[in-house]
Amino acid sequence: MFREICGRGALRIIRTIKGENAIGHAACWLSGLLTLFLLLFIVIFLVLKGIHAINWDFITSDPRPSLNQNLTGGILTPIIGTFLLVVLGTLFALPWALATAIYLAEYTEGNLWVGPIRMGIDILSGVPTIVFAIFGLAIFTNPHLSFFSTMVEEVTNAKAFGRSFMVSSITMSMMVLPFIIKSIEEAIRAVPSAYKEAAYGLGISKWRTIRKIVLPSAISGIITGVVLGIGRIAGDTAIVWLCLGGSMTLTGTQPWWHPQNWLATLQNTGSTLTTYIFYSSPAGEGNSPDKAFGAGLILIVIILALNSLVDHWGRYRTLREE
Amino acid sequence: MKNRLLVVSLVAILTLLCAQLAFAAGNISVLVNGKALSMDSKPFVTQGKVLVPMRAIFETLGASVKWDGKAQKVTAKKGDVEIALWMGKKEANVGSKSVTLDVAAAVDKGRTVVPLRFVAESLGAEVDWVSDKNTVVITTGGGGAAAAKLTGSLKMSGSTSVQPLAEELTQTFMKENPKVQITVTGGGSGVGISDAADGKVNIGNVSRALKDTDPKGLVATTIAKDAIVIVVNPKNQVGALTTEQVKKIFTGAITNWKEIGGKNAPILVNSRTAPSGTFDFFKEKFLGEDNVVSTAKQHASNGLVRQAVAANENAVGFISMGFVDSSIKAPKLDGVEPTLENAKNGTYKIVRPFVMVTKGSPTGLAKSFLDFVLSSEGQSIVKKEYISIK
Amino acid sequence: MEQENASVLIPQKTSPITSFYTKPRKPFKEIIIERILLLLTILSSILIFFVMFFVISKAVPVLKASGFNFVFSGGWDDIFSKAWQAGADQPVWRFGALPLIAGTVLATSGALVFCFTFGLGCAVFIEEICPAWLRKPLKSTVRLLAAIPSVIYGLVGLMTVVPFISKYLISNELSLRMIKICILDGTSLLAGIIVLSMMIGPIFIAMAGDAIKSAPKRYKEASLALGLSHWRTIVKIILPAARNGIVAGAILAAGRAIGEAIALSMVTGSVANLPNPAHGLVFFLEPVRTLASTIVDNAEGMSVAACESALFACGSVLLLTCVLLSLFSRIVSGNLRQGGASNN
Repeated sequence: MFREICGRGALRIIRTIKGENAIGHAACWLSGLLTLFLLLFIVIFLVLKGIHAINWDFITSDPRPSLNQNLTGGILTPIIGTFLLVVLGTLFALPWALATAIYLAEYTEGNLWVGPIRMGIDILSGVPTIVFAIFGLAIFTNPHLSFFSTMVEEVTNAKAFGRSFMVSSITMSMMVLPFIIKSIEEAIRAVPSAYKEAAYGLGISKWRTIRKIVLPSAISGIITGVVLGIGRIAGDTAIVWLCLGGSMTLTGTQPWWHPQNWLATLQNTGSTLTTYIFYSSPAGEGNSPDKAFGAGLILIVIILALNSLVDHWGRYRTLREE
Repeated sequence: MKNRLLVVSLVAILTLLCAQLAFAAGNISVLVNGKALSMDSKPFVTQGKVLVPMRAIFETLGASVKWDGKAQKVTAKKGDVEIALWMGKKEANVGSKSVTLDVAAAVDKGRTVVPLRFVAESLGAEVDWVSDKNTVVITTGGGGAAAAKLTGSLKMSGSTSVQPLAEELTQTFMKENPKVQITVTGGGSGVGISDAADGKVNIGNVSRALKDTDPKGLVATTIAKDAIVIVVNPKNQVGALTTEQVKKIFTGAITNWKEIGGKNAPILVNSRTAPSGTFDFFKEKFLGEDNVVSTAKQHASNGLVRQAVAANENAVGFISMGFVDSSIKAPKLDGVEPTLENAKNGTYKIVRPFVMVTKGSPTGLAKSFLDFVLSSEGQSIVKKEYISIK
Repeated sequence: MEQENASVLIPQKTSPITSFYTKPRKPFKEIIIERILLLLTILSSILIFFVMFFVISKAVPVLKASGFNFVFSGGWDDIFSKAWQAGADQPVWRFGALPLIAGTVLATSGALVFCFTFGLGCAVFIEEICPAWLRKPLKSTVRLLAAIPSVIYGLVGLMTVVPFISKYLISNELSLRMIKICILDGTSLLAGIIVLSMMIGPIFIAMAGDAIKSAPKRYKEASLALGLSHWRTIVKIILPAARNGIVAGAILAAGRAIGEAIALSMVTGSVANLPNPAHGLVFFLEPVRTLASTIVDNAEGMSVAACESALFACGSVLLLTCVLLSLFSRIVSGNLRQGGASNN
């Protein structure tokens, strides 16, 4: 009782000084500026720590195993690893996501069981990446799935190695699938129904309408979804750490840039920028913290570029819609 | 319009990158008995034949080379054999025999270049051209030539402590045997053991000796040794510890630096996670049957322990000697300075083996690789940052 | 009953032109395409059940042996190291993950409180208060922050937040007093909360901002017209209208926080310690370890069947929690959708 009275009293005091408005505004300004400051802080910190590690050699040479930081080489193969994983992950996820999104947006009218289907996809989007990681690691050692990694040679009762670019990119594609589906479905639904009705009115079949009318109109939304997926793939560490083996260089048949070795490269292990950062940071065994910050800076630049790409497409889309 | 620009510029960047790579592929490297040869002029391909700089290769193979400018003649001498050839001519003399070259000897950037085949014929070396790696492999003597013929692939996983060394060794091995492909991944000693036992890898890297509880049927080959040192913050006044004190610290019997000659401050214990080989070895050496104090931080890597000790004045931990740097210090243990020299000459006793385990005795490529690791060449790589086994 | 339902539904929702041309004679090709799309859709939908089945089946030995003790008892580190040393001969199946679950819940809820206060403030600021020239840079900032990989947050946290806490918040005396209970060296629940809030804050801000923006404009205009101050309109009208979206955002952020492994394994202290609220504010300086970072830290142990099963058990607890969160968020956003419909 006493507390209630005190509480009401305090509230009344706050109201009577009429500061509520000002205090609220100040608090909001504060939190807004705090966010800006946070970004500045992270970027400046990374730049200060990492900029002197970055030079042409750092970007164009392979990492080398050494306990001496000066001899640990550069980040060429982690950059290529990130690139490979992004391309491969998108290749696996995009057609699948596109098909699902088209079905959900165009074929489900009046279907009662679309709810459960959506629920499955929704839940998938909430699964932590670490769970995907142990799932991928455990499932791809099955010898029947050895195409995705490699069989271990010269060993009795051999299993598949279970760690490779293909394994991680398939696992990654499961992770990004729901996000890409959602983004594409929204884009397809945003296509004005008048377009479709006009096409139907001309007697064009449904699939042809989707292919020729709906998808081209939704292209910028599709690209936005893909780019968002790419960002998630490039930024993930847990899956890469467990499913890509954590070896620093590309371990397929060398030289990896020869086309006849590409498949071998994909069936073998490597690293990405994120695992390079983890491995080289004070938290890993790689013993080269400056280079971890350098790699972090480069990763941020790549993500910044991806983001501005999304911004660009977003603006393009809104312009056209208006 | 803007989009087009974007796409065009992206394509341009990618093309540039590819061009860069193609350029890199144009470089031919030469391996003489497994070692990369550094040359002032590069080998190149002309009329389908590989031309290599003569002086660098001949001198590496133990021949002396002389140039007679007036006669435009090169003479090389190895043992009793004298070799003579002339610029722009396809004839050459090897001892008393006359030999015809595929392509005439020429001068490139001030260096005499000769066809690769000639090197083989004149000096009796075995020469191989690995086209997909752009590499010339020259070997002399029987053993080397056999090793160069190795093909196939190996998989290794296991200890993150052994991983840097294993990668260094495999990179050299793969350079010497261009058709061999080896994958080294991490995971930890336990993963190495179980992967090897399960047939997921050919070789498991383990940073401790095998124990009774490990799966049966594994064969361990010790490839190197590594010292484990107790580390404290550089600001810590304690400069010497005894084995007994270490045990008391890590089991929680001593919790204040005051008790062992430091200032009045708590001892912050940093340990490793249970599956780590480093932890297994530490427990066996220092703790015996006792368990590490339950408040101890359980780090997943050497690096994290070092970071924790470097960041806090009162912290203590144990790490592989290779990780000791200026951010932390290693106090004397039982009066012995923990340095690489002391570990090598046996005065510092806390030394663990790095082993590579195979399921059954090593066979095939795994055996060749382990033979290489144990050879003097392999051990010279080990010696750089670890303790060799001999 | 179902037939009736269908016959009522279809004519209503399908436009007459569509039904006229597509219904009577669907070409064979169209049917095949529809079937393929359906197949892929069902595949992406049942993927989650596949993951769940696999992860939980691996976790069964430990979950079965431990029963409810898995959630209600502690001593994870000791048991894990015993299970590891026993190897395959005498497997230990009874685990207690209470400290890990507590660590996960504490770090996540702490971060949620943090980002709810600051994040909501920031979202209101972006959508309602900030000057127009600042809005765009701020929005890009939020999006960029949301896209920064967690490993970078972990790295920055390890190099800045942890030393800061150890230097300014933990005195020698405090650390000395607590040494028998736990080690205070900066890696702590607080560090975890700060790093997590930096990580999930932007996600929450983006979601909350969208919700605030989509609150009906008419409400705001009416309220302002009645003479309410801008601030009171925000608090009394706009935020309540955006409530469901804000809650959905918070749930999404919580899901990300619960599953975060790498960044937290770097900053929260690597020991399965159960913080004791009786220690007052020191509570926040005590080390913890979350379920997800336990999996990363102890991944080496997967070679022993019992340890592997224990880690998969952690994975299944995470998975089930996140599934429940997703379901909850579906319910909330379902409300949101209904609310939106009635507003129109």
